[in-house]
Amino acid sequence: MTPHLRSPYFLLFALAAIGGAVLGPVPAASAADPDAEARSILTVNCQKCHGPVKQKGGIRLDSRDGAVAKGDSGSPAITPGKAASSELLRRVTAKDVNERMPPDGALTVAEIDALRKWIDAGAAWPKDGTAPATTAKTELVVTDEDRRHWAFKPLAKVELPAATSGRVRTSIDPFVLAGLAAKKLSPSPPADPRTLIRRVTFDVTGLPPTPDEVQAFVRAGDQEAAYEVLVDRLLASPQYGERWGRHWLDVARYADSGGYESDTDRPKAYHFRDFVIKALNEDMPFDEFVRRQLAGDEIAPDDPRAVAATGFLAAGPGETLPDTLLEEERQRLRYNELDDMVSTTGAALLGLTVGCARCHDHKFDPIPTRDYYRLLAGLHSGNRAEVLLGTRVEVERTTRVRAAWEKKRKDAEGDLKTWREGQRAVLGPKLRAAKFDTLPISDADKKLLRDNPDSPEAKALAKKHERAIAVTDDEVRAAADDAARRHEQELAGRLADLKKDEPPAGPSALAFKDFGPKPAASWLFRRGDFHDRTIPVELGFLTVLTRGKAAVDYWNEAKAGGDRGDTTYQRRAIAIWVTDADRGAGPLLARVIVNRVWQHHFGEGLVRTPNDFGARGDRPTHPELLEWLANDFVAHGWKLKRLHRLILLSATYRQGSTFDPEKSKADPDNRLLWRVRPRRLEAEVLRDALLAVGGTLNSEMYGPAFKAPIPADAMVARNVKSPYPLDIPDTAAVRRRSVYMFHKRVIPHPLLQAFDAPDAQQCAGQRATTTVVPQALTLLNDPFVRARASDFAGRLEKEPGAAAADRIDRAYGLAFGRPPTGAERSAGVEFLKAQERDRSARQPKAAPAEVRRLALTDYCQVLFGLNEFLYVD
Amino acid sequence: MRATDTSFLDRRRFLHRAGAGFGMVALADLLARDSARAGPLAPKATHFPAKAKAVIWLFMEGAPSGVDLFDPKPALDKNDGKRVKIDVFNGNPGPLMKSPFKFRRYGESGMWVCEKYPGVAKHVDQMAFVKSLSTESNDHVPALYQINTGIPRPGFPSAGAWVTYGLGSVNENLPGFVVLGNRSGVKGGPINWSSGFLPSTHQGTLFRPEGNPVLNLRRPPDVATADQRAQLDLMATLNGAHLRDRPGEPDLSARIESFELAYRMQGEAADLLDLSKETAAARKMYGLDDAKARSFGTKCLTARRLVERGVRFVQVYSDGEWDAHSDLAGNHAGHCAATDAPIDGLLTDLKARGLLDSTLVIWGGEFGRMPVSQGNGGRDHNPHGFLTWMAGAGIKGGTSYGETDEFGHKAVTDRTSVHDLHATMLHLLGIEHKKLTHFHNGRQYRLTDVAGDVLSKILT
Repeated sequence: MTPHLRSPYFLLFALAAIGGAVLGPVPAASAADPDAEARSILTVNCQKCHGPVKQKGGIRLDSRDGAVAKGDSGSPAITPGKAASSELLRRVTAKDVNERMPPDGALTVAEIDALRKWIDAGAAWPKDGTAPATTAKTELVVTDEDRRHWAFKPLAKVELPAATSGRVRTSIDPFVLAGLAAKKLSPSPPADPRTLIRRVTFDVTGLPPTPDEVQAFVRAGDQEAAYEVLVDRLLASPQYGERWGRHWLDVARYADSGGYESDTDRPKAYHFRDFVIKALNEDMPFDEFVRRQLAGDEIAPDDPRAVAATGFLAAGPGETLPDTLLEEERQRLRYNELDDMVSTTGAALLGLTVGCARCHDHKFDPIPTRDYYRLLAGLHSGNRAEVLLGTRVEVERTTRVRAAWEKKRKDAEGDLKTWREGQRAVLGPKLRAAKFDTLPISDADKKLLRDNPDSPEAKALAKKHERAIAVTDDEVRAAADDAARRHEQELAGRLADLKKDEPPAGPSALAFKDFGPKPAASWLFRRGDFHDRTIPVELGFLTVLTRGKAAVDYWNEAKAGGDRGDTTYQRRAIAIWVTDADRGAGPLLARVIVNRVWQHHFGEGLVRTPNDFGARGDRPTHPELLEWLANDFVAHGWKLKRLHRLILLSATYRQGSTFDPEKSKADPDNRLLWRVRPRRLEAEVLRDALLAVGGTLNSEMYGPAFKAPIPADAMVARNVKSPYPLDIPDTAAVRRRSVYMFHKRVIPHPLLQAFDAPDAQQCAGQRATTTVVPQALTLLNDPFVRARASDFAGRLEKEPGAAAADRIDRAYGLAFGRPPTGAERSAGVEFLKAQERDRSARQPKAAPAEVRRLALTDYCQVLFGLNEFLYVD
Repeated sequence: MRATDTSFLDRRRFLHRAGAGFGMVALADLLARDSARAGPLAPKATHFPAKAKAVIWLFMEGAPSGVDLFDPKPALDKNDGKRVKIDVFNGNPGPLMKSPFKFRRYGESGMWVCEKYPGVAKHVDQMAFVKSLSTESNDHVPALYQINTGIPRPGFPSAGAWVTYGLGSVNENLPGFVVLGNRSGVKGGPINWSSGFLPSTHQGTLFRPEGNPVLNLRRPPDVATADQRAQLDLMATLNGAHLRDRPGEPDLSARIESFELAYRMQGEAADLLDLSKETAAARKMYGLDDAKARSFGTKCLTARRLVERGVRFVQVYSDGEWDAHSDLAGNHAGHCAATDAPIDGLLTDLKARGLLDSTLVIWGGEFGRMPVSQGNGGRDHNPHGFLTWMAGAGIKGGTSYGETDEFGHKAVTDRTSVHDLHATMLHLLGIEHKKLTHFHNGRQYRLTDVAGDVLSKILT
């Protein structure tokens, strides 16, 4: 267990120094002056982060007053005379690397000893040359040093490693081979064709290959050519976008409801999901893909798909509280939702934990709070909204026609209401008075009601008998004369006609929209407190990822490229900056997406912390390869399919997956890629594979999400608006691919949840892969799994060859893409025989066909639970 | 907690993956090379000796009112009907409203308890009342998320998940964290017992007192026990051959074993929830004979059975909601009637079995209620000062901590945060709350975020 990043003690981390203006560069201390030697250790190792420029954690170590003053944590770094209880000493001696200071390498034993002695002796500091005693918190300043972190640098040209031995199919291989060679390792032999087609088909489309596809590939004479054709076919298939779109939806924390108490459905959210799938299938350049998700409405306002793309910003959890509720609470939600958008943008696109800077400067990465609020300013002028889809002309027309109709309807309603009220004013009192006689009250009271209706007694009496003396519209109508009745009918008829002619509302999507052309005022909220509105900020970006082009220039560029009068163009400015490979965040954006693609092909990224490319993230296993791929990606137009091809055609990807204890000893975590690791099917892939193998997968693409049947037991949230209906039949409509399922945030789908689907609350760069009992329970007992096994049995029964052995052969082909071995076949035959016998013994009256079907279903369900089904080699 | 590249890694990775909702400890046992019990749910060493081995959190969903149950305010009686300036969640605050209930002092400590909680009142000398809790949000779901996870937003691990993450579980065949839910569902749903970014192994498992106790625990209607046994046997045969060709893949063997555990569990969970073996006296003690108290009593009795079997963290939700926006007298009287005998029974039973010394019992909601009235005799939400009590392991009985102002609106003395409550709970379990951390998306997270002080004044 490691200490909390934000623990008070953490604040001491940044023992940094600078030779500072006042202190001046410190000469190497002579051994003759142990105090100076100790102080110089602080200067060299600590003051970069804890000196005049930065005071990470509120700690400053360039003066005695600074060193003994309380930091943000409330405790000082040094307690003079007491080295043992000084936090500084504790941190420099910490065994835990996460706790140890300085973060980039431990001090030597001698240095630690010198510090200990110096503190125990009272931590002497010369009077003159002492830095200002203030430890007042100043803002984090981004330095050139910060920009030198590998992930923040501009893209560097990388040469392919020279001569390598081993199979080379694409430019990836020399890098991997060089890495292996350095550790005296070699790659695994190529996977056999059956393994390979199963691997690549699941990988690219999320579905198993059909037996015919396997046969054709295995029998192809020229394997090399056949594989290339296969890869291109898969990448061109519409299922590619469904599979890889799902990966992006994880990152975009996409769901079809808002979460929180009401978990309100978002029936129009799916347009964003469809945008993603289509964009991937069309191989939209990734930079354009990103720009549209931030500012599609400001870039291509006449393209409905671009407008819907900003659903990326809107996809996070959120709830609309009624205006009647406490304003403070609604503000809190608003800033939590904006935080979700800023944090997701940072994590999804840049692999940075920008959200950490909401309350204080980032503890590890050079992200000042100011940068966080400058980014937030870009979103502060708008919000999640249902926007009409269409060209602006269409939207304008729809809006105009609707408004005109609304006015007519209101007028007609008003006319009818006015007429009715007029009639009631004339006829009502008499009708009411007539009812007084029917009341069970004394004559005197009746008289009182009639003669003195405004007296308090009469009013009280009338209130008591309100219901009995109320006059209905029908009574008024009956009392009216024919002409009046006809007039009312006319008015009512006009309104009814109008309602029949209601113009369509037009398609709409859940997206992001600015309130107008004027940027909203924004502030830097110190400690995240949204009441604190004293420090104004304007649109800006992450300083460390900006090189010589100011935010205002990006903004001007954004405005110059658009002609809308109803938006601020701030998001477009962010979009241009984030994709700017020369002076903006483009290099990091490219590295992050290249890494995500790699991760989904191999199970782990080249950087194994896909959402953290900062100081605390993992370093790349193959830094040069990542750099080469990012360069190639940007140079060739940010095309994802090109990147997929490079990876899929590489010899590295086509390796076998066999475990090797010797190689494992040298590289237990397979960081150098000496093999391809077997991987468990992801939740959606498992569900889709069950449908595909059962033969009932409905491949209909796009459109509104479908609510899948889920057990009543799984609905354990109260007050949810529109929960899953309990009577959803198991029809083709709910046998579509999982990417089209309706995802309710507070009611996770049990099968997906059991198999580690993310909860859509935050950007998810990586899924866990657990092996837990609820998964086994699902495969054994979930009605969906049993129903698919039954489909599978039905499918087998329809195929030629009624012998048990034939069915087993066919089942293996469909489920595993191979024929069974002799032992597997006979085990299956035995099982079917025994099940038929046992089942009919238990239910002698059951029809033999029914018994056979159930036994075959039992068998098919067994196949679904096998490791060979659940894991891809 | 990312590993470095040592030979330990493959095993670590495997154990991580082998993490299980239940039973996976045994599984890890079978497969780990060393003889010590291992795995994510294996019992882990505490930071210091623990007072509590288990927690039973009696969760009063909807937010009960402190001033009407345990913290009478004479100033409220005196100023009944007077207008004061207080902003409330739903708007339109009414005047100050005195409690509809009468109070008496109980026990040697002389703690106040209202007339509607006579059974609970018997145990005041075991209880420490924290009267000055505060939380951030006025809204139920963010407040539920905060009291359960420390953060008033979805997506973070719940206290129960942190506890099993930190301590593991003693019983190999039951989850470490069990939730006995509100009959009509809990607002905000399973996120209240989510594992957030911790391995899903640690998420709370919802047990239903009736019907299908755990999702998918029941076989499909057309599959008999014998059929499933035959299926598992065939799976073992077929998986065996597959496994022989793939040495060095611990995931595969873990999965094979997980099916066997699932099979066994179907019987064990049913046994756990079968209360027919409890004596009539026990059933009566928990209020099972009383229609009003039966549901909550069943859950309290089940909680005791879970703790007895080594389950680490049990959360028991009350049914319906204490959310008395109108008719507080009727609402709270009803909830007291539903929970009084069960809580009395639970505390009595735990004590009799010697379990109270090692079990921390917590009672409370997600926030409290306003001193001013709302609607017809109701009270609106109050996040600024509310009351919770703790009893059992390590708790100094008959004490109280903190005070709200004279009306019970805001905490004024020893204001306490949800993080303090969590820090105290972890402390009693032997965990230094600042050291229970998990690295996620670039930072070390903990249950207590960046705050939390142990409330040592109420500890023995």
